[in-house]
Amino acid sequence: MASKVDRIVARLQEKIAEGDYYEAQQQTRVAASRYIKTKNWPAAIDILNNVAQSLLKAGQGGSGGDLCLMMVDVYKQAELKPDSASKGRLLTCLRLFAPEEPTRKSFIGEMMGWSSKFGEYPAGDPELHHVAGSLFAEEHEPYEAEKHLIIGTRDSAEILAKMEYTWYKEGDAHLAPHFAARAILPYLLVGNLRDANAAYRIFTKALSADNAGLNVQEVATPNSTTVAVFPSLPLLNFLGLLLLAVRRGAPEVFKGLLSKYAAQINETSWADPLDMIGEMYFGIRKPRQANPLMDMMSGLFGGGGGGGAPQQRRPGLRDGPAAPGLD
Amino acid sequence: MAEASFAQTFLTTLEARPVKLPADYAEDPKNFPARQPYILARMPKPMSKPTRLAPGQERSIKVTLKSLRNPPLNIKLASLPPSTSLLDIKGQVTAQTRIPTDKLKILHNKKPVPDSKVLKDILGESDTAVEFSVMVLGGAAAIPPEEEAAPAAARSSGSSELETDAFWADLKGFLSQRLKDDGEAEQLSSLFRSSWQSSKSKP
Repeated sequence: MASKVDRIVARLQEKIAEGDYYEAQQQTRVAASRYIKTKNWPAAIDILNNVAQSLLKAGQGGSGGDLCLMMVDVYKQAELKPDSASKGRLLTCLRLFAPEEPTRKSFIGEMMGWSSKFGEYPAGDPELHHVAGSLFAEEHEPYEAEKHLIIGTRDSAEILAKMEYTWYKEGDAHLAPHFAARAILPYLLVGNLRDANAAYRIFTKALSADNAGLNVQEVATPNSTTVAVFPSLPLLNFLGLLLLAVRRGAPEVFKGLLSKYAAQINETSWADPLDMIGEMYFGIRKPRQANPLMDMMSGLFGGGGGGGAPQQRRPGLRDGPAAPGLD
Repeated sequence: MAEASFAQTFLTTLEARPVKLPADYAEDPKNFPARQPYILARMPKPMSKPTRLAPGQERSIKVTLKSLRNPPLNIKLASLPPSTSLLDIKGQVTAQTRIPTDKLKILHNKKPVPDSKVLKDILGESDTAVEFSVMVLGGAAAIPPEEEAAPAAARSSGSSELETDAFWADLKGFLSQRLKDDGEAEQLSSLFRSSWQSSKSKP
């Protein structure tokens, strides 16, 4: 039946070329619904995908977006698994949206929901997050970018660090650590030491490259443990030392670090994330009000809750963080 | 040099403790809880808006796809925008060669490229051309033959169409528009359908 769908799509695309956007959208919905009734998922998806893209390309974000949402709904009905093709289709559509289009946000939400329900990633597919986050980074929407890139792919770290650096450059020089932390601390909170380190490296490298006069000194031990120290940016040094400390997980070392930088940390909003890092990496439990959501976190880091999966027991890594303000 | 000397002492203290995590440790995202990650509180100043490239200013990319093996291919695609995804490129290859999209594997510098990537992700900032190598899973045997089956299919698809409710609904829709009378359209389409059905059952 492929050629029949092709004919229907061609007819609808003609309507779009003639500016008959509403008709095209409505007729697509009708045609797709018929295929859905007979569970002909490939045909429904094919028609929705093709017409949605044509509408988006014609600048019709509302109607294009509506069909994209319907397509994700078909994915759910079809119980389609996230794979290269099913994700690729969504991402092609995503890239066609104008940034200001209101339906894009719902589309992103729905695609993440679908991927988490039918894929292996409870927080949503990392590849989808990477693309959505990258778009937001390009558009200078930092908070949305962060929410996605922190749980993206390996490639996300560079995009995130560079975005934070770009943002940093718009303001005062001494605020560098505040922007670097926006990538480093959230990565630590999802147990991603690799990308916390990557973000730190990328940020400090850009900082040094752009500021020839910035004083930096490499400090090393006889055993070759090294760290770059920026005498004029104490909080940046704190972050560098923290990244080394989390690898060893010794609580008194962490407390010593916090104590040394207490005055500067007081000027930041880092108290909560540092508490959580203390718990995750150093086993320092702080008394907190009963938070039922925290109980859901115990699957992270091989802490008892999850049970089944064979995970390496990481001493010092405990429950995951509680993200404030669950949507 | 207070910062540097503290760091020195700190590193020495650290080294006395055993390493528990490698520097490249990353928790498997399959173990993440089903929620948004924690992000830091908002900054006092928002980020400035980016300068947007007008569509005309965007560069055009020339894409070449080559396969040395079975079947040998040399496909050129010109003037693609940097936002073209690998999935789109596969689609164009399929259109030109009849090789099914899901049997195509595209490589750049000998590494496979996922469908979701776009040209912009692969190219340098000022590149305007790229060459990919392409593999066909299953070789030339994977290419379906030309549809000479088409005429036979067309013959049988007519009668199979008449079996579908969709056809009769479409016919009613046409009649309704043409006659501008829903009631007449309903009656007629039912009449046509039942007489077709009884003509089928005659020996």
